[in-house]
Amino acid sequence: MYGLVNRAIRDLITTRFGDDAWHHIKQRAGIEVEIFILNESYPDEMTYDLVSASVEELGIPRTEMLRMFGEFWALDTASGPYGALITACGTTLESFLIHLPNLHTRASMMFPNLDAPRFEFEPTGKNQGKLHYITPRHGLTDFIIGIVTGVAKFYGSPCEVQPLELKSDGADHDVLEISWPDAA
Amino acid sequence: MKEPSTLPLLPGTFLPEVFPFYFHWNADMTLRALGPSLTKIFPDAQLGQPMAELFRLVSPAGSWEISRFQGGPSVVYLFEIPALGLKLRGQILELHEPASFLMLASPWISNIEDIARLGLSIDDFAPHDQTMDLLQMVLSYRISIDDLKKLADSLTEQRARMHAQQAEARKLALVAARTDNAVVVTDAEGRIEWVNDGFTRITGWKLDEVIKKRPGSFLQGPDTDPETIALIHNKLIHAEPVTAQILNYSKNGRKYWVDLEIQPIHDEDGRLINFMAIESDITSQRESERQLRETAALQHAMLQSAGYAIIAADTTGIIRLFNPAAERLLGYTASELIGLVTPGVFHDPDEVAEYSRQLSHELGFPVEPGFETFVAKARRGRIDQREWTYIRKDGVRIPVLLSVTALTDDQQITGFLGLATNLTEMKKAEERVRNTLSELERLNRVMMNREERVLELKQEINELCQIHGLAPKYPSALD
Repeated sequence: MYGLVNRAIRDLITTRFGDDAWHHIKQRAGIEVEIFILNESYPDEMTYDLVSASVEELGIPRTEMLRMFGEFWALDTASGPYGALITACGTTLESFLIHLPNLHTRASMMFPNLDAPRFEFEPTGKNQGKLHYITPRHGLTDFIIGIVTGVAKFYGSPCEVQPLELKSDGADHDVLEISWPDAA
Repeated sequence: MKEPSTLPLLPGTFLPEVFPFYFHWNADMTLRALGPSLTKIFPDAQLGQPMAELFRLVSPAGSWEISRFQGGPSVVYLFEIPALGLKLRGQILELHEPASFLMLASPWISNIEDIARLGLSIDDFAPHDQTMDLLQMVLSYRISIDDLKKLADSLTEQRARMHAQQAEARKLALVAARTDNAVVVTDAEGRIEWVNDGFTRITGWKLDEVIKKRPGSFLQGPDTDPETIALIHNKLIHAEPVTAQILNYSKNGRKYWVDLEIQPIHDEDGRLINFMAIESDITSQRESERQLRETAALQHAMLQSAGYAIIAADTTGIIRLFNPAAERLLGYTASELIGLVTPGVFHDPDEVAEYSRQLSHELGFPVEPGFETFVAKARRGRIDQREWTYIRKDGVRIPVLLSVTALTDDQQITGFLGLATNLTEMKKAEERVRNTLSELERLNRVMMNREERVLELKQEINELCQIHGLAPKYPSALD
């Protein structure tokens, strides 16, 4: 996992829960990294350990914690230096979702060790569609749901995300149904 | 030489889809066509408009001449649209029928913000165009460089902090080693890890004799106050700091008092790792305090039980001490006078004025009537003892013998002390003695007169005897 994700976890914790909480979480996770470099590759276990430590330290359920991370990461990324790139992908949630497969392809070029998941978006009607999330990793579905809700908030159209099929239930991959209201 | 292409004829949509930023101009250097993305962001460009009005040839620099564009497809050209502040790079194909030039261009954007400024989106770029990818990469590396800078700053700060801590630790070690106080460092369970030389000097115990032991196990003894022991124990259990005075025993059994301060030490994560105790030997101090208390108690008893009035005043004359004998003598309570008035309140002002005149003459400088009258001599190191008349609260006048001396502390006058003895009884006794003496004198005179008269009578009788030719009756009276 690239430092990009671990930075988001750190930034969320320090922003919402304080530096002391982050310090304790790092301690619990047994991590001594001072600063996560954006495009540096770190073991996936480090991310999982940080998530688990956050759950234990803050007493927040894992599902809620992962979605919080995802949403924060999306909003933080969108509001930061990458905001211009995200808006270049489109000015609506739908256009972003349509461009998502390409976006991740580009990310794979830049982060060769990313082992990035694959996304496919299938519009199924007005203001709705299915997002196919294909990945060799486990346990990050709620993180993706958080990212989607965060991006939706960035575009000003809060969305509903419902898991239709889950790899954890034996499906081939995760399928998430996303729906959003008309633009105001 | 490159082989001729064997590709099939490409569809007409090929050029706009693959090179959406292309531009095409005629041999007369007028605009012939623009790609869809350029058209979108450069609506002011009109077909047929001179190219020189729309584009600037940046590299290879030069004017708009046919020969400039006949370098072949291997030449990299860089144009700029001044109106947009946009550069375009690519290669030029010379076409025939009609004679024209086609620039297969990609925008050269180095700043991600220009995407939005120009009104572009990802759809305006061909998928093979690496502009967006390069921008993202540049952005990522910029952020990474910032991260590295932050890391470097953090390391620098940590190094500085570490150096400061090391310097501090060296100073503390120096202080701990050389201080006369005992310094004890224990682990979190209270077992000794280190003691300084001061500890050995005070207690007689060396480090190797006490390491891993709890201090209380060998320093405390039968006379150590159990409540103090319990207090310290309770504080340590809760990892709280504690100060106390406690009686300890040295290795040879000597009792000594220490002023003890124990502080818990935590690591950066807040975990208790050590206790540090500093002990000052206060045995002498406590002994001095005990003696002082005894002296003060004795003084108090003396003041309370003294039969003579003891009145002390500060340097301004305000009464600060008024013992029970003074209360009885003058009829005032101490609370009525202390901190409020000078002794002048119970003196006869005429006497004070008169003595002031005398003092002024005696001392050679004016002494104003008032408190200074009572202390002028004492201020100069002399005891002033004389009789005064005190005026009680009820107006009764009392003769007293008053001695006034200065109170000093390190040769500085801090106040004045007056000891007054009631002379009433003595005066009365003196009166009685005077009266008795007077009576005795009168009786003496009477007795002497009588004796003279008896002698005269005896002499007259002797004369009568002589006249009558008799022997004198009182031969002794003849002398």
